[in-house]
Formats: sequence, C-alpha cells, structure tokens
Amino acid sequence: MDIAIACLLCAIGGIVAGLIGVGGGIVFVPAMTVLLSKGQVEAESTSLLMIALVSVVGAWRQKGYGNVNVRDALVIGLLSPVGVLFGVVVANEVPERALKIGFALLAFYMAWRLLRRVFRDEGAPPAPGDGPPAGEPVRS
Amino acid sequence: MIVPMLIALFAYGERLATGTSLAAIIVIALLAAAMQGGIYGNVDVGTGLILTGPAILGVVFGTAIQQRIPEKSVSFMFALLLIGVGVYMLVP
Repeated sequence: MDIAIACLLCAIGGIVAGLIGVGGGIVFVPAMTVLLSKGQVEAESTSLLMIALVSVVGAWRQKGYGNVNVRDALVIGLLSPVGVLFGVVVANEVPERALKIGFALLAFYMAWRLLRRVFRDEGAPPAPGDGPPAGEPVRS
Repeated sequence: MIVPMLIALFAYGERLATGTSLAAIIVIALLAAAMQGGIYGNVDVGTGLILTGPAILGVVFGTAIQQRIPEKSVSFMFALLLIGVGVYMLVP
C-alpha cells in the first residue's frame, strides 16, 4: 500500500517538475523517507537518478514544444558542479543558520521579482533592474 | 534557482525557462547520481526505477498542461514555492 502511495506522490512530483521546470526531488525524497523508510542519504541519492530520468523525458517533451535553449542548458549544467564546489567551501566556513537566512533572503528576492512580473501591467514599461526588454533568447 | 534566474535576470519566457532548466538538470543530476551510485553506492536503483515510472507519466502530463495555461501562472506558482522554501529555511 505504501509503495502505491509513493508512486502516486511521485506522479504528482513529476507533474510539478513538468509544470515549473524543477527536478521533483522536493516530492521524491519525502515519499521515500516517510513511506518507504529509506534513510535520508539513500533517498536523496536515489532521487538524483529519478530526477535525471524525469528531466530527460521532460526536456524531450519541452524540446518538442520549442521550449529548450540547448546551448544555455549545457552551460548551466556544466557550470553547476563548479558552483557546488564553491558552495561546499562556503558551507564549511559560514554558520548553518546564516546560510539558511541567506538562502531564504535569496528565495524571497527571486519570488518578489517573479511576482512583480506577474502583476505588472502588460503595457507598462519594464521597471529599472528588470534586465533587457523581453527579446526572445536564441533557441537552438 | 535556475528557472527564476532565467526569467528574472535573463528575460526568458516561462516556458523556455522551464524547458531549459529541465535540460540543464539532466547534466547536473546525472553527474550527481553517478557519483552517489558509482562511488558511494547510495542509489537504490530498483526502488528508483519503480518510482520513476509514475514520475515520468507525471512530467509528460505536467509539460502538456503547461502549454495550455498562461505563462505568468508558472511564475506565480514558482514564486509561491520560493516563499514556502524561504519560510521553511527561517523556521529554527
């Protein structure tokens, strides 16, 4: 029964992944730790495999809809491990509480930028700091 | 953080940002899964494959839904997720 509920939760995680372009680990990991009694490390590691496979299918579907910039995706994907190395160093030098507060502030800032975009009038000019006007990036 | 970064800082449309994010995640997750599984042996491949089946059905459904809703609703959903994560981080 637990495996059936875990499957259902992972299906929901997949929908979230497709809707907003995340890996889905935010759902996969608790599905495994809470329902399948996996340890945190094993659940997170297993979710990485799931995220890789789900992302392959999600990106393939989005490519079919014309929604993937392959060049930028490769740049981001290959630069991220460098960011991970930097993050490991910072995580070992900065207190955990400060890291969490810093990440929360970054999350709130990004949320504010997205909400400002959502509620800005369609005809209004971009606010200062909004970056370049909405020229569609080159698609590969 | 890839999706909000592409939308807020690089003027991507929501659908292009989420598709590009998924493609980037392939590289990141494959590297990380290979390390965790190949080096540390922490990946439960059997359970992962069982749960990946419904997750793949979900992502196909999710990407299809996304093409049929206003782009800005994706930004709105992502903003709610970011606020939730931010609040979670602040809870001691």
